[in-house]
Amino acid sequence: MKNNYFFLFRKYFRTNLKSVMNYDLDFIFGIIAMLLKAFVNFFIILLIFELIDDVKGWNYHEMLFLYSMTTISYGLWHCFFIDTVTIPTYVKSGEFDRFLLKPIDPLFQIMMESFDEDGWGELVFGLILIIISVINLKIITPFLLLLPLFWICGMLIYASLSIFFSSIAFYTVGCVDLTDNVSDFQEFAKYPLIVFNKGIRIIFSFVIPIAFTAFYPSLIFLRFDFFNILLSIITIPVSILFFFISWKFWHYSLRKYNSNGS
Amino acid sequence: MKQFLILFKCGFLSLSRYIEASLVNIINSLIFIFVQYFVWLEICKHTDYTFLQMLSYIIYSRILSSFYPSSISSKLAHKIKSGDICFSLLKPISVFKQLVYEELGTCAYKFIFISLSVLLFGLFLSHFQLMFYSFDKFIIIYVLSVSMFMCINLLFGVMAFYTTSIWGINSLKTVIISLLSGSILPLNLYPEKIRNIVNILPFRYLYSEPIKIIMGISTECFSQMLITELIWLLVIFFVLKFLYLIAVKRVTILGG
Repeated sequence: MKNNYFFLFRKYFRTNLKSVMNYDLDFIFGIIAMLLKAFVNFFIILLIFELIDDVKGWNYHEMLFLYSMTTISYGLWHCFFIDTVTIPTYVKSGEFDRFLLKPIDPLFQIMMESFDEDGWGELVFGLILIIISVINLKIITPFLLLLPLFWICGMLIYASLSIFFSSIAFYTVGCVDLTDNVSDFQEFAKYPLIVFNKGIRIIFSFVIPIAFTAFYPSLIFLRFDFFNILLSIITIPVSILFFFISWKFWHYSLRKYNSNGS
Repeated sequence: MKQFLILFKCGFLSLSRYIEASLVNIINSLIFIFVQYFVWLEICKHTDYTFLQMLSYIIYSRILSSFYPSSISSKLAHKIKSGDICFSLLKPISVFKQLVYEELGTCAYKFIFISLSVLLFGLFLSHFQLMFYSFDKFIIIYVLSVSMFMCINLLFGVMAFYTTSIWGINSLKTVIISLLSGSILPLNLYPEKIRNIVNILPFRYLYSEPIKIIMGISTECFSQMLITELIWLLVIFFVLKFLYLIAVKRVTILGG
């Protein structure tokens, strides 16, 4: 009995090893490139803090905390929803219809296809960073338990953006593809909202709620007062609301697409 | 000459089908400039770097990157991986010339529709005070820089002969260039030790030096810079030619 299990274990191990070794040189180059890219983004923040001590009152460790929050929300989005960015390409080439042939919800299918290995690297990097930040900032509150919830909320907001933009593809037959710009919005999320002027702050809080992916949730840990707690907690209903709106719009556009006789 | 014009037109028109892709590119550049505007506005309050200098640097950097021939490496790699390289090799014009002429066409398109929009935005954002010093010197160094950019890209593309990779090596190329050429941040902000390494490598001639020339803040002697750049260009070109010839020989021996 024991021998059987040991035999199986060796077989599984060999198969897994073979599948890992199948990853060719191209994949290794890609992984090195992704690690370097994460390092470059991180490097920029390091350089900024070589020059100044704080950015509008946010010191180095607080900026790192914010940066790691952004990285984790974005990494989660990358792991689960990255294929929503390819929807316009699918619509344009006509490949999208294969999702409609199956009895399962097309969005769910796309999510399952999205399962991407490179997103995990970002996630791990973000998690390591946030652990370091939390230790350095000496944040020991029960609110830390809310962190995974905030990360999921951030992921939902990025997802609502990419789903919304890809819904537009149904109207333009994939010709207008704004989904690549979703990753650009992450640039704004890396810096505390107070750096930007009033107009931009309003846009990023109410129209394109990037501020809720990292900045507002961070306030509960870094700027603890009653009003900020409220702002942080609002993240949860806001993210669900925006995701719901995008979801509805997607299904509405999908129905329109179907009725156009594709 | 006729070959050049035909391929140039090809490249130019190939992008005009996807005018929305240009829109995405413009938005991407604008977002990046916008974010950096506010961040550096804050930083420059506390340091002796002038805000206008930083803003001008960032705007010029985005303009340059919007029409640099960066897609030539993946085009070559795709051709190699799919086997289409055989058709390109059979044509009466060298593979390099084909790719370069077509890429120049796409660059011209990108310049007219993307770069000029970004420049306009940049002029407004800086209240028409964009730092500008000399154009003629810039053109001279820019011609060399574009040639170097093409050669570096082709070098990474030729690697596909040896590694049959597209995505991996392309990502690596993008990251290396962005880190070492000064396209994200001015190189003088880097710490001393890294700056020493970066100064030896040729990548700074892609972004950092041309931008410094157009802004008029270059500290090196112009002719010395040109000579160093020319030497680097020749070195890269000959390495490229060498790797390419070996690879093509291998392909023909394998019955390709």
